[in-house]
Amino acid sequence: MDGRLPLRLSVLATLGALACGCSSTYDCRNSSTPFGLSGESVIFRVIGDRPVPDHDDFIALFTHREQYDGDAKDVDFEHEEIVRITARTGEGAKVASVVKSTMLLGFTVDATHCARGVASTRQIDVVIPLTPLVPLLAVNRGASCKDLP
Amino acid sequence: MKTVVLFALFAVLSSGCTTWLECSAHDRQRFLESTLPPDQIPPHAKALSHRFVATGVGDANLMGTGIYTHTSQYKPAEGVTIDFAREEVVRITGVVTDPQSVRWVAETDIEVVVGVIVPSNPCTAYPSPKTPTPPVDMVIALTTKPVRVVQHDIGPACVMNGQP
Repeated sequence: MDGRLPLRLSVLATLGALACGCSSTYDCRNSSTPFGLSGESVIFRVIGDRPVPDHDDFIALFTHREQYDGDAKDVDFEHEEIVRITARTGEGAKVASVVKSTMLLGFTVDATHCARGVASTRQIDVVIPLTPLVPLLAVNRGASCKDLP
Repeated sequence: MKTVVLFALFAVLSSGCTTWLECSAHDRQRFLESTLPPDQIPPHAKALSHRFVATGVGDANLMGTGIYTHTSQYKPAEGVTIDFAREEVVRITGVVTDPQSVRWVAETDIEVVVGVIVPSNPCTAYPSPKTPTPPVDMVIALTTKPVRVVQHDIGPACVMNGQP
């Protein structure tokens, strides 16, 4: 650990700011654009939403039918893939948007409803067009939800 | 103190957490990865079998890291065979200059992690734009895990605020 890490972070921050056309990284990131970019919207559909054991947020990709453990009879795996979002959202969370640029594929989940059990982990399966982009996840839990038990 | 400040910077930019307690186990793993020597696979990951292949034809607009899982997405270079029923192609663009810069490929319970050595940034007051690099393609077993690149810069440290 030395001076190189902050320099590297500074480079990343600057590139991020330049990529989204805003004057600083802080301008770029908010609850509606958590990835700091205004990308192209991706058409998506949700095919699953269920509670699962507690886990940190993560994403899994199902690009072949044999990989998927749910019902995917309406999914065309030659042209579509399933992105599984596992996150502490509580019941009632919604996938607010899916955006893409040349650099990333960003999934934003709206979990600001502050429902009972907001910290409980859910698994949401989303179908999107097949893409080589690696997805990133942002869960907007809202500041007021942090105070709930 | 220095470590705490660095961690705070890292955490804010990567996950949004601001204290060690607030950060998830995954955030803490990322912090640990940034402190390890470039050739060391993180203790929470295990080495993953992979092979480098000549660059094939994929999405030309891709920047960063990509995963090709179908023949409709990727045309292998001449002489290269990829079984997309069991394998996938991981492409790294704009980060490394050659396959030798990729020091390890590993997987955790949730993701594939690739450790790379990146060209050093010049020690100037303002960061310079990165020089474009050709893509590096490698083949791994088909997985449901996304790919993340861990970058190590082994160049000489810049002097910041009079401190080495």
